[in-house]
Amino acid sequence: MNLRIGAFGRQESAAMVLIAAFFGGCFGMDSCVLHEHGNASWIVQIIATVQALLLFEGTVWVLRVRGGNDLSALIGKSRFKKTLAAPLILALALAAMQPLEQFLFTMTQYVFTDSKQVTACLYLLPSLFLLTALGAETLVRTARILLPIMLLSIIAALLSGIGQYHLYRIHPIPLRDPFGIFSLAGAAQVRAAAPLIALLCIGEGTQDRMAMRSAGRIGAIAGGLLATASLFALSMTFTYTQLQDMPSPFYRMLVEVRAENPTLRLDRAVLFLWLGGAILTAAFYLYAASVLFAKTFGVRDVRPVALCLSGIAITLILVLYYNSETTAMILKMLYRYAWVLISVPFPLILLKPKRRKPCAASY
Amino acid sequence: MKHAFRTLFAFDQPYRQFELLETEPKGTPPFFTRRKERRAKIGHAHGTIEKQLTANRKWLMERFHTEINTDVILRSFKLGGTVDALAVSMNGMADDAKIADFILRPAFRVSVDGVSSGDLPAYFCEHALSMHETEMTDAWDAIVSAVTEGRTAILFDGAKEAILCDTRGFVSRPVGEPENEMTIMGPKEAFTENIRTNVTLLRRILKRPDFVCEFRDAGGTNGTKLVLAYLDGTVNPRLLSEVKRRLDTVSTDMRLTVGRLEQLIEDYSYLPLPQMLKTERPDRAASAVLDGRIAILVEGCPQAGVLPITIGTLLMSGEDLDMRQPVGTIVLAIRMVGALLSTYLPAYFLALALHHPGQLSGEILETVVASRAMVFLPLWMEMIFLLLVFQLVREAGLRVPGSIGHAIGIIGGLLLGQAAVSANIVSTVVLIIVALTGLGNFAIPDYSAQVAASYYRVLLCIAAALAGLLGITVAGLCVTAVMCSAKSFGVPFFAPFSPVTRHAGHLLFRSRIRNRADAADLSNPKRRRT
Repeated sequence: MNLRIGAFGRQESAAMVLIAAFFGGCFGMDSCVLHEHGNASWIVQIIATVQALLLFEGTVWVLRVRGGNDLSALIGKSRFKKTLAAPLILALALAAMQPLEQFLFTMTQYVFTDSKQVTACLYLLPSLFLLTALGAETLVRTARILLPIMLLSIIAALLSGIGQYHLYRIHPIPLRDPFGIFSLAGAAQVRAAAPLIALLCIGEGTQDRMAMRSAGRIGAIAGGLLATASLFALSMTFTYTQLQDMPSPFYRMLVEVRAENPTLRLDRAVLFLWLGGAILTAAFYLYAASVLFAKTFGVRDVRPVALCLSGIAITLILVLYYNSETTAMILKMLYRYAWVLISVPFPLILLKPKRRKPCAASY
Repeated sequence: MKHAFRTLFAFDQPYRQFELLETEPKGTPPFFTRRKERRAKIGHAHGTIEKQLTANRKWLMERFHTEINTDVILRSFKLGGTVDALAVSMNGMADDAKIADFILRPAFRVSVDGVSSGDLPAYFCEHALSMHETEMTDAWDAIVSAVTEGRTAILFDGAKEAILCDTRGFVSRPVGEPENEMTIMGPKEAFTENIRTNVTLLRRILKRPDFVCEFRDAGGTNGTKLVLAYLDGTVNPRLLSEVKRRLDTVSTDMRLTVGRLEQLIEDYSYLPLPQMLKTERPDRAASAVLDGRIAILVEGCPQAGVLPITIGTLLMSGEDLDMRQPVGTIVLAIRMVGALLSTYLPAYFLALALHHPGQLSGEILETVVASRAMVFLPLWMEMIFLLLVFQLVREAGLRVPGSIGHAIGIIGGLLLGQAAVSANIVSTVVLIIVALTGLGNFAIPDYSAQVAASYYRVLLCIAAALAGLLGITVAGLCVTAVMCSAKSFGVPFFAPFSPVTRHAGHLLFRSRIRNRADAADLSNPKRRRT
């Protein structure tokens, strides 16, 4: 089988998970829902990260007990479990779409105001095709190369906005309604868990299970912390009422910094640098979904699947903009309740298959 | 607590070393069509010599076309005054004095009474031939190959073997100074076209018994020789066998050079970046060999090919380690900035000026607008035109003799630029951007890498002209991903950064020079730095 997974080390896989966790956490959120009753985004991010880590640790533990290096080893040949892989593939595709959709919206709203979304999508498609076709080894190595620049840009963006931060803006923290917080965390679970699920899908390429676990832990914790810090900074920059109606709050934060310091005209350069991270994240998820599909359903080459999934993801993003409100509403509902796509099939996949007793010989 | 943190965030645990070489099994199913088999090897064996000297002589005359090819000398003589013998050599390639003094003169004097015909070659070798390097063979291919490279073959009537004597004495260029890899510090010797001299230059630096120079046929009917130079016991044996396997597939009638050989054995033909370092400096090749790499010397080529390489190899100069650490770090940083400017600056300027003018301050924007007021070309066309002119001046300067080359550079740079601005063909701002780009490009030490940077520069400029920063992002990401996917003989191009190896090299920060007795672990050598 030509799955193009290759072989990679812990630092590369950790870098990929970190980038994916950060971009999923910060650029996949539904700002309106998260700030409905207060600044809940950063609390939700912490809970979602913990949930995702628990899921990941549990899966790795089951892998260790049962023997196997990746998620497909748990799925095995059971038809029932093969069917359960489908929602996971859908969840990964949705997780890939969210940051891309956010960036596409930001670009057409603030940068290329005269352009249509389809034009911008035309530029994203070739890179998605190329990255998914090149495979896991390339993706994680690119992530490792881009990580220092990404970290530098994120940290610089957070530090340069210190003058804008006011602690009073995080009020109110909607802790009075724990059920509401946990339901929001459930919605964020797909974004937080997707990097780890994707890592589990390509676990064959890591050195061993322990390396995969270590990379997943480091990447998810570091990415989750960075995303939480960024969301907290966002909460200190804008009030929750401002954030409710604000599209692309992170870009707005950069613009605010630029307004304070006119010499630092790097907001668009940073925005497009982050777009690179979002494309990489999306390619990672789509590739992992393709590998899961190929392994589960016995496709010999991952590239056709990856190309198809990339095309479908971009088409669905465009549907959000151009098609009827009903279709857009369905997709938004899918985003909101995508956690079901993970929470239901995962425990069932982790269940030990019931071994049939050998038939008694009959003569 | 400390232990928990170490366990959680530890990358330095003694995990098994990541295998950098290609491990993919052969026969991976392709996407569309199965790749065609490589064409069959050119050339075929010609068998062995006969006992009858007349038959052998006839074969040689036909093979070398002696009726029209007067370079081949077939000198008949009587060994000891009794046995017919034949000395075959190539005029100009073999030293006449050596043949006369050490082959013919002893041959006339030696007595061969009582020696059987079959034992004549061995007897002559032991009792008469006063030459250091001799070889017995019965294969026509070996004889023909030896004669064409300047050795002399002696054939005897009644004997089934011939003697090959080293009588090479052709004219070759003396060892000179490197012309393309000039340094301020360090040695000033350069490789020549003579492969023996080149091996000697390496051996003078690497005075150790485990330094192996393996002579091989380069492949094809031309008989070009090449040398694989490596440290036995240090180089990764899998890398060595992989290189040998690839060299075995070479079968061409083309004149081989290191650059052509690289293209015949590399993995990624369409990657603009080289996958083998071509250096004319023996000290640089020797340093690479000490680091567990392999150097390939090709006959008639004054460069050595070093493999495997990484992006760091292309961005480092031979004298970097000769400088003091702080100075070396600054020089490296300047070089990195130069390489980045060379690749991204024109595209970034185009993107800002064409698509995101709000990112430029009012003063800069005014300057750009004022300088372009009379220019009739669109900005993107002006930029690409100037980049092409820059390449033109550079190529013109390279292909002409030294002093004229410098003059062309000055004329191209100053006069042409000034004239183009006066004629309103280009603007001063774009000229400054291209000049900075050119300077950055020259900061890259390797010529092939400079050319590759030019390729990427134009690609990024087109992307920037089309979609501004979005285009740069997409094109830059694709370029980075393709480079990350590339490997030079199994070693990822971005090693030791991605994948990370234990020895991070001297690329970003020049580390201190320390005593060492092992090699960098880029290619998993046997004696690895820990």
